[in-house]
Amino acid sequence: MSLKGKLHLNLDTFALDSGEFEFPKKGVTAIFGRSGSGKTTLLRCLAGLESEVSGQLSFQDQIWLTDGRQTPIHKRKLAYVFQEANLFSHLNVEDNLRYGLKRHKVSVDGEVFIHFDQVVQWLTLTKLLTRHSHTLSGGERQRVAIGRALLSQPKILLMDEPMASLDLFAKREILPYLERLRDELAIPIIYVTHSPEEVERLADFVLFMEQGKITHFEAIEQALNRTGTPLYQEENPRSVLSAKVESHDDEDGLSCLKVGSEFLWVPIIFKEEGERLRVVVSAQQISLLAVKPDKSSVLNHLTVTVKSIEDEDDHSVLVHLTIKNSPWPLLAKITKRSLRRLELKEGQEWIAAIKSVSILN
Amino acid sequence: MLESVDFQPLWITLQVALYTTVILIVIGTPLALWMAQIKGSKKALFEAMVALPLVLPPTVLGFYLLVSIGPEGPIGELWASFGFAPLTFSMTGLVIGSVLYSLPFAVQPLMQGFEQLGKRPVDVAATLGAGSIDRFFSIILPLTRRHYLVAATLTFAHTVGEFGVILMIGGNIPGVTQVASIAVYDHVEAMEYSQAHVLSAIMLVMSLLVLTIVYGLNRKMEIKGTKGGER
Repeated sequence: MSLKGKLHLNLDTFALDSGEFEFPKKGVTAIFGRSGSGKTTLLRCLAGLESEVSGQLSFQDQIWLTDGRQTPIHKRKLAYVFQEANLFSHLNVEDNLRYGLKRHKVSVDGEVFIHFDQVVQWLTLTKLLTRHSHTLSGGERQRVAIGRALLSQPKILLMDEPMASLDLFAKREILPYLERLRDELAIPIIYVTHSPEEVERLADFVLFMEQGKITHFEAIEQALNRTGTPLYQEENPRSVLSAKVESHDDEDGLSCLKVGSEFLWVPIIFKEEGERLRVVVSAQQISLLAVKPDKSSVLNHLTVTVKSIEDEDDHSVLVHLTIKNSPWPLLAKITKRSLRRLELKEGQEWIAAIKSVSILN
Repeated sequence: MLESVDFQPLWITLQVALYTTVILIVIGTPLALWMAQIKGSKKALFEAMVALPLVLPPTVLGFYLLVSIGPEGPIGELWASFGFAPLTFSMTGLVIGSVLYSLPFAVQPLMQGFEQLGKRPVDVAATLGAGSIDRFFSIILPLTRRHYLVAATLTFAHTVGEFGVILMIGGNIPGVTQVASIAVYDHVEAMEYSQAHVLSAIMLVMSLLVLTIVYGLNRKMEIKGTKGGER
């Protein structure tokens, strides 16, 4: 059983009334919403940091909250990464990292499945081990905090906007580490954020919150590509696709990615073959063709199927397309005139010419 | 000249101060931890109660103590019913009086330390699997050690300087409850200025020495780059 329940909390200025929820057993679930929507409060309630919370909460075989009785935080198999690193200033980096690990080792179920050396390598902490927290940069500190949390051997990792207090450079430094965690860890991660960019790079599922309530819970493929999604209220429609690195062509400076059963050429990226990444395609960068052209300056021609057609307000339509063997929908914005001329219908197969692709990773 | 000076009062003073300091650190910790958490009028009331010994004349405090722990008083009677010797005019009585009298000097710095530290480092430790006692010794104590040093020093020094309360409840029994401050007073009353000089000088030098060492330590114990446990 995964983390599930129903929580209620009344604070002076704010009320949380989550409704029933159940988090996935693995992957990153982003809790997304505007500031003041109750994201952090929900996360704090999940962790046990709010003493006044009522409702029910259970995780795996443990009951965390029932009839107003809470399991103390230190007995929950969770780890929590706060906005600020909160390193213990009287301990050096290594002792900070080992704080939770030591306590786990002497606990009832002292089995270690995330190892010290592994974490140090993942987060490149080797050179920092003997340093003190006040000599570290913001990004370094947050990396140590993440490592410390992982080493306490949690069965679930809660993260509260771990990048919100970092500057742009530190953010760029941390993001790849978070992606790595997502791909390497077997435990679920719950990740609070108000940044659409972080959601599209990291999340597998999205839980939307508004005014203390959970409004939607969806897989990322739907959450990103549903029209009217709170993720992109004011931007042009775009699609996010998950892709796998297939091969590199050093001579032309291109990499080949596999999306479902189709291939996508992009400017060369520094990732190993087989690694996964996410790409973004703007809906306006897609043209629909009846047949694959013999000669074209456009590199990417994907075979797609029309799933549905949606009217936009501005004399154009949004065509929802699917790529074979990919759960990620592709959106194309075309004019109503083109729609008429092409006699576009649901279920038809077309060629999508993609003029440009941007890489998220 | 030195042969005629009785050093017993100095020894008693040190003993009372030491016991008082140890007891106040032990009972002041949970009290200060609790007071750092509460809010509003409840907090104001308890802060005022803890601060009372600062403003009350020592004789008033001593008078109430005498009334309550004396053989006729409620606490005194209860104490006697267990078969213990009377509290008044005893070392135990002196320590009880000193604990009350020096309470603010222990509780206030500790409470300030806990408030500065805040809940966050303690919450972080809890999410990393540390239970409450573990959290106290691994996080709170090391991060507020300067406040502990200040609390212990002030308590000790203040108890050494105590006069009125002890006079009220401890009397002035040489070798049992006669502390240095009272002995000096007695010597002056009896026109024995040379003895008063010796005791006073010893107390002056000792106090200066202790405070110098403590302030030196305080500087060394500073945790670099931070206040409390943040960052």
